Formats: sequence, structure tokens, C-alpha cells
Amino acid sequence: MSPLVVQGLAKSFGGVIAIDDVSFALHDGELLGLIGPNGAGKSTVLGVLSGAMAPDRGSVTVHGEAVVGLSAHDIARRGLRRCYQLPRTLLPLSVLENMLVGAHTRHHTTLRAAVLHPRSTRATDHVTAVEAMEFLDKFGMRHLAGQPARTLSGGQRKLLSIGQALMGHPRILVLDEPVAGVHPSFVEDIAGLLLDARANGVSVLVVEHNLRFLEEIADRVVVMAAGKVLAEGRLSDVRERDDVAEAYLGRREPRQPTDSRTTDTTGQSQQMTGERS
Amino acid sequence: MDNFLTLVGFGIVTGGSIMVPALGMTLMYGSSRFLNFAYGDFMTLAAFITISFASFLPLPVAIVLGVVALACFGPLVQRVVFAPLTGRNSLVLLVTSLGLSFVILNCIRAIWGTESRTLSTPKSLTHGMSVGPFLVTPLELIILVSALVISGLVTLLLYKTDLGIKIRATAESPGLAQTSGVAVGQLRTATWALASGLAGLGGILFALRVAFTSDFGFSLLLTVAAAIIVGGLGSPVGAVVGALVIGILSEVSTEWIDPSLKSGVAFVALAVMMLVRPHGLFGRAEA
Amino acid sequence: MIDFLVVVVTLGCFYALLATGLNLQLGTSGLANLGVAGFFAVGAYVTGMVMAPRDATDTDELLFKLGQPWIVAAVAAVVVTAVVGLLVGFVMSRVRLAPLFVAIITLAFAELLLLLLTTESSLANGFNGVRNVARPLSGVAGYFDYERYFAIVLLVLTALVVALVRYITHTPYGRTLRAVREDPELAESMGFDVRRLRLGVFVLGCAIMGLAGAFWAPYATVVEPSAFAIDATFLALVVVIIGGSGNALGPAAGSVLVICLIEEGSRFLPGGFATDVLPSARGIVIGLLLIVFLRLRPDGLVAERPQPHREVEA
Repeated sequence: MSPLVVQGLAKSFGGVIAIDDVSFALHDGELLGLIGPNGAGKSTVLGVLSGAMAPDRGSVTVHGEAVVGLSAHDIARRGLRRCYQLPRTLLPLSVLENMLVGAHTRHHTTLRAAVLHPRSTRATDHVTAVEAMEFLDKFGMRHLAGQPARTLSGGQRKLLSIGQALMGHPRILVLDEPVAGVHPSFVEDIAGLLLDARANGVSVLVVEHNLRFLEEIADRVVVMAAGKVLAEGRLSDVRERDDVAEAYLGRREPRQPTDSRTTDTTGQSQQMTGERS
Repeated sequence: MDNFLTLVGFGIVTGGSIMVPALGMTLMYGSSRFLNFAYGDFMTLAAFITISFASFLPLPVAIVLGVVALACFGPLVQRVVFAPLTGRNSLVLLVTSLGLSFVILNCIRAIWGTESRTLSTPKSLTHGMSVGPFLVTPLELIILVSALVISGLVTLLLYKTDLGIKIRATAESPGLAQTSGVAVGQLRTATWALASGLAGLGGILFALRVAFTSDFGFSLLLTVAAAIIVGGLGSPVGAVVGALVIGILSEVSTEWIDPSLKSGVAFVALAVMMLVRPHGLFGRAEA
Repeated sequence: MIDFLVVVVTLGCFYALLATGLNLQLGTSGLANLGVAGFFAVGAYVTGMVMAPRDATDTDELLFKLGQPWIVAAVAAVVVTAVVGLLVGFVMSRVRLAPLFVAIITLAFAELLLLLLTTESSLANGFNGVRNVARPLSGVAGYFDYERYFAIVLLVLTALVVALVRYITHTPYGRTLRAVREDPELAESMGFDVRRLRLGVFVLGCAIMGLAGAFWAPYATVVEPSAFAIDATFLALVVVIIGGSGNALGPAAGSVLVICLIEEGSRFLPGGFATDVLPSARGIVIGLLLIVFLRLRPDGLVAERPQPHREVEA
């Protein structure tokens, strides 16, 4: 069973259709890219997946469990973690603390635990800290562990925010443009990080504009345009298609061919999920 | 039933007196995205300035001067106190406005003292007369009518004129307005001037009716805040409707509860609204 | 001089306790509780009424008179204040205790409570309040010594509470609270139930204020509405902001400064100083301090620091 299945998702804002009948699946241990021009509805999909907004129609299942209607923290607790486009770190907290907080949902970080079981709380914290330090070490950030996160560079913050999400040992990681605006020297680090995560059994969904980046890491991509899924498959195959190029570059009248082909792909993706389940 | 109608009538009068400051407060919130806790003291300040002017000028002139003084004072405070905090956490703005409230309140006490004061109005305006089932004074009628007319005009300004539409646009999403070429800084000054002027007028209209002390504004603050939250934060129409709702509820409640408790009705209405429809009657869903 | 010191220590401890509760809410978790005076009042009134002798005639108009010893009353005070905090928190739960609404609702709560206490005299004797609250163990020490012993006991208690809160903020729980304060949306996406966490810490802070009230009743021996005006909230707020929000030691530092300089320091002003403007001048200074501190030194005297961890040095 696919860890994440999206079926017939639709959402409009005040009459403007943001997404319409979006279906795709993220397979086990897969790194899936979600691409499409601006306004294709990718952010809306992410918002719905993470529970930040409710869809008008459609379903999202995480490991077979329907999550539409659950709050964002409930979805996160079911193993789906989201990384934001602008890296959101807790600025006054230290780099290490940022990492530790990411792991706290795995443990009992309640007041009761802190007061009644100080020793085990401290022991768990220690184990978590060792794990966090290993992560920081990998990216040469060990010496920054005690610094407040506000002293980090943009790229380092991005790494930290992904690290923070990974500390929660998610089964599904959803990222919004992980390399947008990031200094080129960090792009390789981030690519490595995502491939490592995949190797550790995390299914990864990446929304990205940078196709070169996806070309290197993505197993498969889903192309969205005008709120619909346009195509799905290997990036090298998909990018050859006329309708995809059209939607991306905005040439000629993209409307009509888009519509006719979408029915196609929707059928295709339903078939694929059907095969798997 | 007659009694009930009378109470509703009183409620409209009370609502009218909350309406003007409520409009200003909701505008200020929209413009700066925080609730200014010094707003009530703006109201008090205007009343005391008017008292001072009224000692040597005719009352209508003193009232106009009081409103104008506040319309100048508001943007000044925005520039000096709040503008440097742009980009900081909204909690910082909120607590700063509380500090400002304390400063203004105590300045008023130091200058004008803590005794109860009244704005002396012409005797001819304070003789009761009956209008339908109501016994009112001409003064009360003048206050109610001017409050309703001014609220109506300001609401029209906000929905029908170019400036007003821009003000509401910045209130609803500052980023959008900026990219669409609206001079946000100037607009903010204009909004603060308008909002503070409304605070001043609201304070003076209140002071015309009853004796008041240096803290009347602060104690009205919560009632006004309750009105705009019930109506929906940032929505001018919401402020007008919220003020009427709070006014009528608090007067009608005296059917059942001790009249001295009626100022608490606003808070209860606020709490109920929080539970039932937290974004208010006319507000947007996300707060 | 020693009497002055005793007063400063006692009042300082009361403010430090209130500020510690508020600091947990405002400093650690970003919840601007402006109803501090109200929760303090709940604690004090409950203590007074639980202790009030059942047959006392001068306390006719109390909701209840239980005639219990202080320790029972204190426990009741903390529990009741926490429950009241929970109810107030519940009102704000649909907006997930967003800061703006917390400020308004808590302020409204305190005002409503004060209004009820003063106008509904059947509740707690109206303006007169609960009178002649017994002082526990007053037989052991004489009247003047009592104040000194009381100051010492209160100081120890305050130190314990400050230490406990300091410990809590250093645990994963405290770290989580600060994460929620900094970015509630991010915290949600990590799997934290922001509403529950905020509600919990709100109740905890209120319980500490109730504890302060439990000590106030026997100290003042009279529990009357005038002690719980907005000024108490304001001073607690100033103590938190000036002392340093987010740091458990901040309130202690802030209360010493605020009480010494503002509340009691005016004793040392030269004679002939115009005493009638003194309260206003004090208010202006407090307000300005708040504005200036928030602008120039938002971290307060004792700043919140990223917490060191053994792993960092390893």
C-alpha cells in the first residue's frame, strides 16, 4: 500500500478554483517530484496534505488512514512531516534545541514526564542530542550547535529545517521548494540529505521548480497545471511531452489540450494506485 | 412589551456611543495589525482637551479642536512609539500600547487631576422631552444622530471612495496593497489620523452625556473591543453592527439583571462569540 | 530600616510570584495574560472564604464559610484558580489561545470578576470583602516578628517556585513551549497540539497566581476588591518585561528593581516633594520604562539564552 494516496482533491477560494480533481500516489520509499508552473495549485495540495487547509472534495490517506479533517498536528503525528519553503526555524533557540524540538513528538515531553521522571527525560534527551549532533556533524555545523538559529545563513537554516523534520523520524517527508533561493553550494547537501532519507525508508514528496535538481534525485514526477494533474512518470519522459512544455512555457492556448489530456492522466494514475493496492 | 421597546431604544443610544470609537479601533487594528490598548486613553484625552478649550471657547469649537488634536496626536504616536517596532512580534506592540496607555492615563491625572468632571452644556439642551415612548433630552438626540451620521459617513468613505478602498485593502492584506502600488506609509498615517479622530469624537460624545474621570476611556476600551470582535475584527460594518449588538444586549439585560452589572454583558457576549463564531459576525475565518 | 526591608521582601515576593506565573505564560509561551489580578483575587478570596469561621457574624455575606485551616484553604485556592484558568482558557480554545484574544479575554475576565465582587455583595461582601482572615501560626510569633517570619517563609516559597519554573523551562516540555511561542504553525506541523500545550501552561501559570493569593489573604488579613485592580496586573507585566521574559530568573530581578525603585523607593524622596502628583509620576515612569525596555532591551535585564547542552561541549 502506498504511504500517501491523494484522490480527487478539489479546493477553490472564493469561486476561484485552485485545484480540481487531483489524484496521485506517493509509493513506498520513493522520491516523488511535484512540478508545475506558478499557480498550478501545488501549494494548495501541500496545504491540504499537511492539514493546514480543508479540501472541498477528495480524500488523502496516510498509510491507509483517511486524514482529511484531521488537524495539522494529528497528521504530523501519523508520520507526515512538512518543510516550508522559507525555512522556518526557531530563531532564539539554539541550533541544537531546534533539532531536539523536532524529535519531541516522539517522546513524552509533557510537564508530568518532566517533573515526575526527570532522569529518563534527561536520558532520552541525551540520546536525541547525540543523534542531532551526528546530523550537524555531517554538514559541518557541529560548532554552531550552541548558537541561536538566527545566526545561521539561509542555506544552513534550510538544512536545519529539514534536519528538524527528520528528527521526528517521519515516514513521509513533504518539502516545499527545498533548494529555492539556496546558495548553490548547499544544493548538493540537500540532495544528499533527501537521498539519504529515502535510503532510510522515508517516502519523500518534493515540490520544486528546479528541474535539474529533480532530474538528479526524483524517481518520478507528477506535473500539475491549472489545478489539475497533467502528466505523471519519469521526468525525462514527461518533459518530452508537448502539453507539459506548453503548460510550462505558457505557449499557445493551453486550455483545451490540457483539459482533454487530464482525463487521460487521471485515469492512468487511478489505474496505478489500483495495481498497487 | 413597551418597556422592552424602550430598552431597545436605550440600547441603540448606547450602541451609537460605542459605534464611533469602535469604527476607529477596528481601522487602527486593520492598519497596524494589533489592538491598541491605549485607544481608550485617546478617548479620555480628547474629552479633557475639550474641557480645557471649552473654558474659553464656545463648546462646538472646543469639540472640533478636541477631535483635531487627537487626529494629530494619533499619527504622531504611531510614528514615535509604534513605527520603530515594525517587524517585531505583535505581542511587543500590544504590551507597548499598554505602557502607552499607562503613560497617557497618568499624564491626564497629573495635568487635570483625578476628580470627576463634566462638560457643561447649555441648559436648554438638557430638558427632557418625549419622542414616542422615549423620554430623551435634545442633547442625547443630537449625540445619537451625530454618532449615527458620522458612522454612516465613515463607513461610506471606506466602501465607496478611492482612499477608503485603499485603507481597507491595506487592512486586509498589507503585502498585496504594497505590490499594487499603494503608499503604505502615507495610508497608515491617514488611517491613524482618522481612527484617532474617531476615538476623540467618541470620547467627547461620551463625556457630553455623563460625568467622567480620568480612567473612563480605559474602562470603555473593553466594551469597544468587545463590539469590534463580535462584529469581526477589521471590518467597519462589523464594528457598526457589533456596537449596536453590544449596546442593545447590555440595555435589554437590565430586564433580568442588576443594572450595575450591565457593563459586564459586553464581556459575556464576547466570551460567547469566542466559543460560537470566533471570527465575528463579519470577519474572515482566519484570525 | 529592617521594617522597610521586610516590606520590600514581602511585596517583592508577591510580585515575583505573580510575575513567575505570568512569565511562564507570556515569556515562555507568548500568552499575554492581562487578568493576573483576577486570578490573584480568586486565590485570595477562596483562601479567605475557606478559612472564614462558620459562625462569624461580621462575614455574613460570603458565598461560603468553611472554617478550615490555612493549609486546606491554600490547596483549595490553587485548585480553584487552576480550574478558573481552565474555564477562561476554554473560552479562548477555538482561537487556539491566539495572543490577541488571550489579552482581551483575560482582561475582560478580570474586569468582570471585579465588577461582580463589588456589585454583587452576596458573593463576597462587596467593597468590604473578607475581613479578619486568621494568620496561621500567629500564636508562635508576636505581631511584629510575624511579619519577619512571614517574609522569610514567603521568600523560601518564591525561591522554590522560581527554581521549579526554571527547571521546567529547561526540560523538553519547556523547549516545546518556546517552539510554540516562536512559530505555532511550525509547531503544529511538527505534531504538537498547540491549543493543548497553551491551555496547559496557561492553567499552570494561573495556579501559581492562585498560590500567591493564598499567601496574600493571611498577610493582608483583609481581602477586598481594591487590591485586585488592573494595577497589580500591570506591575506584574512590568516585572516580567523589565526582568526579562522567558528567563525564570527575570521576574526575581525585575521585582526587586520595580518594588525598590517604584513602590517603596519614594519613601526616600526629600520632604516637600509634591505628594499629590507622585502616583501619576510613578505611573508615567512605569509606562515609559515598559515602552523603552521593549524598544531597546526587549530581552529585559536577564535575557533568555539558548540553553547549553552537554553534547555541545563534547
